[in-house]
Formats: sequence, C-alpha cells, structure tokens
Amino acid sequence: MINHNSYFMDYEECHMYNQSSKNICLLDDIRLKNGKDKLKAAYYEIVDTDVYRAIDLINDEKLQFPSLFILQGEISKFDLYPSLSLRNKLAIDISNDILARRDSEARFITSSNREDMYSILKWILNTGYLDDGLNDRYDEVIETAAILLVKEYGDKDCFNQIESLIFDRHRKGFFIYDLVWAYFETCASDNLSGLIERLRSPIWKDVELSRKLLNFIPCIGSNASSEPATQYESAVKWFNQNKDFLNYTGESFLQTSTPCRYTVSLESKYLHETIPVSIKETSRSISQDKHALLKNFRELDDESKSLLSNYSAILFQKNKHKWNKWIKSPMSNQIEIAKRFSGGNF
Amino acid sequence: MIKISGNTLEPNSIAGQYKSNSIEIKIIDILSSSSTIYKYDSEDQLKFELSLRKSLIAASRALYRSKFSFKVFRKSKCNTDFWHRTNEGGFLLERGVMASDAINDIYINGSKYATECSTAIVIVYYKAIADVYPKELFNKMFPEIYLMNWQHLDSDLGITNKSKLPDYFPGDCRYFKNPDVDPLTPEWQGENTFDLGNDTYYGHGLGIADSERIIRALNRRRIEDSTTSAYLMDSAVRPNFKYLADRLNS
Repeated sequence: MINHNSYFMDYEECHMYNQSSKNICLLDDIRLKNGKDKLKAAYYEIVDTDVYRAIDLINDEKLQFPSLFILQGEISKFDLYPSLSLRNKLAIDISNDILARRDSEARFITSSNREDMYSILKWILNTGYLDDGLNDRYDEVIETAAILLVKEYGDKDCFNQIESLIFDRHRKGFFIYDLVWAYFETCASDNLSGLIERLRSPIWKDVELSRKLLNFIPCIGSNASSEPATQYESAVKWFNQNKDFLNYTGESFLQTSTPCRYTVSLESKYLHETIPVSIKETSRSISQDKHALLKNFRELDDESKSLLSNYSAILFQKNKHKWNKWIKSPMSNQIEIAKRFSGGNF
Repeated sequence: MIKISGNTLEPNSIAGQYKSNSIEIKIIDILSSSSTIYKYDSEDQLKFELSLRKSLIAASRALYRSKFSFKVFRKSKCNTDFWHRTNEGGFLLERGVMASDAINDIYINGSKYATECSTAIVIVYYKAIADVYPKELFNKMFPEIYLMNWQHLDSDLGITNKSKLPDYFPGDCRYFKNPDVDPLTPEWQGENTFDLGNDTYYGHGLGIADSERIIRALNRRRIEDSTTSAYLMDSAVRPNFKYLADRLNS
C-alpha cells in the first residue's frame, strides 16, 4: 500500500516546491530521496489522480534522464507517450533503439535530425551518468549515448563523464571495455592528463587501471611497481615532452591484453610539427625544406632517430633560435651536436 | 630455415612423421622455406609447436560446431555448474571445479554459453592445451581461469601480440580491424580469428570463412557511407610454444 502523503503533493504544495527548488524537479526529488521503486509508485498514483499534472511533471524541463528511464513502464501503461515533450519522446526512442540493437536502416537514431539527436544524447549523459549502475539496461543506454557522442558527433566535452563512468565501473567490477574504446577513439591526447592524474589516486583500483591504460608511457610500462607519486611525476614529465607528438594506434582491449594506444612520432618530434601518418599526405602538408629533412631523417637507424628527436624537442623548448640553426645544419652535424650534448648538458 | 640446437634441420627428416597435406607439413614448409631462422632447443620443442597449432585449429573447428553462441559481454551466459558469471560478463572458474572439466563443458554444453569473439579465442587456447597436456598437468598449471576477453590471461600461456612478422602460420590468432565500425555495435570493431590454413579463418560470431568474406561481414557493420574497409592486420597473437613444450617435457 502506497502512503499517499509521503510523496504526493497537492497543487499548492507542488507550486511551493517549484518556487523553492530551482534546480531539481519533483520527480527527481522523489527518486533521489526515496529510490526508483517509490518514484514509480508515486507517479502511478499521480497519473491515477491527475493525468495532466503527471504529464506536466514528466515534461518538466529540469527533469533528469534517470527519472524518465525509470518511468518508461508507467508512460507505456497509461499511454502517455503522445503527450510527452519532444525531448522525452526522442530520449525514449533512442533508448529503445539502443536496447533493441536495431540494424542501422531500421534505427530511429539515424533517421532523426542530427542537432536534436545531439542535444538529447548530451542530456541523457549529462543528467544520467551519475546514476550508472541503476540496472543493466540503463547502463547500456548511458554507455551507448557516450559512445555516440564521441564517435558520431566528435564531442570532446564529455570526456570527464566518460572517464568518471570508466573508473566508477572499474571499482565495482562492471563492464568498462566499450567505454574505454570510445574514450581513446577520440584520438585526443589532451584528455590523457585526466588519466595521468589518476596515477596518484588514493583509490588503488584507480591507480591500477590508469597504469593499464597509460602503459605506452615508458616509466609506467617498464616500471609498474614503482611508487604512485614517483610514477606520476615521471609520467607528467614525459607527457609534457611528448604530448604534441603522439600518434594514436587504434589498439584496444578487444584486440590484445596489453594494447599500446599511443606511440611517439619521432618524425614529429624531430621537426616539431605534426606529421600525418600517410606519406602521401606528408608531402602535401609540410614545406619543401622540411620534407627534405624528413627524407634524410627516415634513412637513419632507430637509435639516431631517437637521439635527434629527443635533442630537437629539448632544444626547441630551450632556445628556438639555436634550434632553427641546428635543424638547418647538415645531418652529420646535427647528429654530432646531439651526441655531444646527449645526457642533457645543454 | 629451422635450426635445432644450432644445427639446420632438413625438412624431409621430420616431414615423414606426418601425413602429406597435413597442417604439420604446411607449417614445416613455411618454417623451412623462410629466410628467417626459427630456432628450437630440441626436436620435441618443434614437434610440440606443430601439435599445439594443430590442436588450436581442431579446437576452433569444434567450437564452431558446438552450439556456443555470440552475445555481447553484457548479455553473456555460461553454465553455472562450472563457471561464475561476473558483473562485467566474464566467466570465473567455480571453486572446487577442475579447469579441464570446465573448459570441456563449453564444448559439450555449448548452448549454455554465449560471449564475444575475444573470449572465444581464449577458450580455444585453453581447450587446445587441455587436449595436448595430461589432465593433471593442465589442472596444476591453470587452477584459476577467468575468461574475459584478453584480460586476466594466465601468465603460463605466455600470450604475446607481435607485429610485422616475417611469416604467419596456421594456428596463429589474427585480428581483422574495422576502423569505421558502427558505434552502436562496438563488438564489431574487429574480429579475433584463428588462422586455419589456406586463407581460412575461424572467428566467433562470423564462423569459418576466407579473409575476403570476413572483411565483407565486418564492412556490413560500419557507419553509414563509410569508405574505409576492414582489413587483416599485419600482426599475430601466439602463446609461448617453447615454454609450454618445456613444461610438458620437464
């Protein structure tokens, strides 16, 4: 038996509630204070008593996605879908697409307006990610919304949410691999600083996972047992020296047990310039002088390439004038100078 | 070229032990005709690799014939008499259950199991080893198995992923990458397969097919209007054959 008074307010109370609570709507408030079962029970009663009010409440602009998702059964039972706002209709359609795993031709997502779709996916993720773990179906919708934002819309503002989902799930032992894949598929090395921060997390499981994800950083891959604080400092130093020269490899946990997601492009580091992976593109996108330098550089052995690229990066940071002079000198001179100063004595 | 304890092995000296056109003969042909020198400490070590590669192919074909089905990790299932399904969708060996019995059950009661291709590959590795090792040794070496994609692999398998290899062999695990996968089906971002020989591969979910058909199947699971095809990567995953041979022969 539902206690009518515990979560069902009359119009006046509701009006007062709306006045006092600018950031949270009634249905979310019930959910957050009493849980999903009581939200369902309360909404059932509201519909039963005053269907128009029930529609107003569910269409509240401040409503968060978890409440809508939880109330899908009630919406269907009372045939409220036609009365839903566009946002709510789209969110339900997207959820159904995801859960039914429809083929692309039969999907609602692909046939709808891209801008609408983007804003609904953002709403789902932004208001819904903190409730990840609600149930398996919900988690799948949240995860797929995140993947779509990254892969379909190239959204780079959702990294924090995705990162939070990954680490939160990992602590609970839940499925993380598709989210990890999407996170790296953005190919945006900028967001690695968030992962590096987690190397010194007070939660050991976070440290373990961030080490696993950042295994391409030499001080982590080769020395997984070192102190988190020491490792963090070394990783920050390495990242600052190499962040502009990282190439995404596309390796994932589906492919191998220890995917190495980034490699340092020695060519980029040497020229201090982004070099596209394709050789054809290279010749179009860099100057003739640099193309000639690159040609000579590519003929060197691995050890010389590493020596020159490291020296180049450090010299560029210290003294651009000297770097300009050095890079224009013959290759044999460049190697001689780099060798003379290897060890950091410049 | 094959070298055993520093001495070149003439392929004919060992080929007589196998049927013509067998997998072993094909592998010996690739090894001996390669410009790369393949070194073994003993003939037994080489024979073990041939035997395990053959077993990997047999275990792949047997898994394909079983009623073991494809499901994403979120919806994976297993026989709970032998395995505990974890929150992330992996299968953890139940306490008190022998690893060999649990691995064999996947092949006997395939309809009770479903998962993605990467876990299927790991199952094939364990099954192939279980079929060439005595039961006691297998259970001693792998008392705690957790099947969850490529994670939690037993270090005794010595699994490594190597790129740009000079030769590829039947029994290698090869990866078909699908860079433009439909984001709603990330499970098709690539397909882990076993090379069965003669450009034939087994990939869980796609079945047994040649490379062209696997690529076509993955291409059907791309984003709309993609022009970037799936492709077979220039890499292979292999167990540490020599270590596994030495454990058997020690």
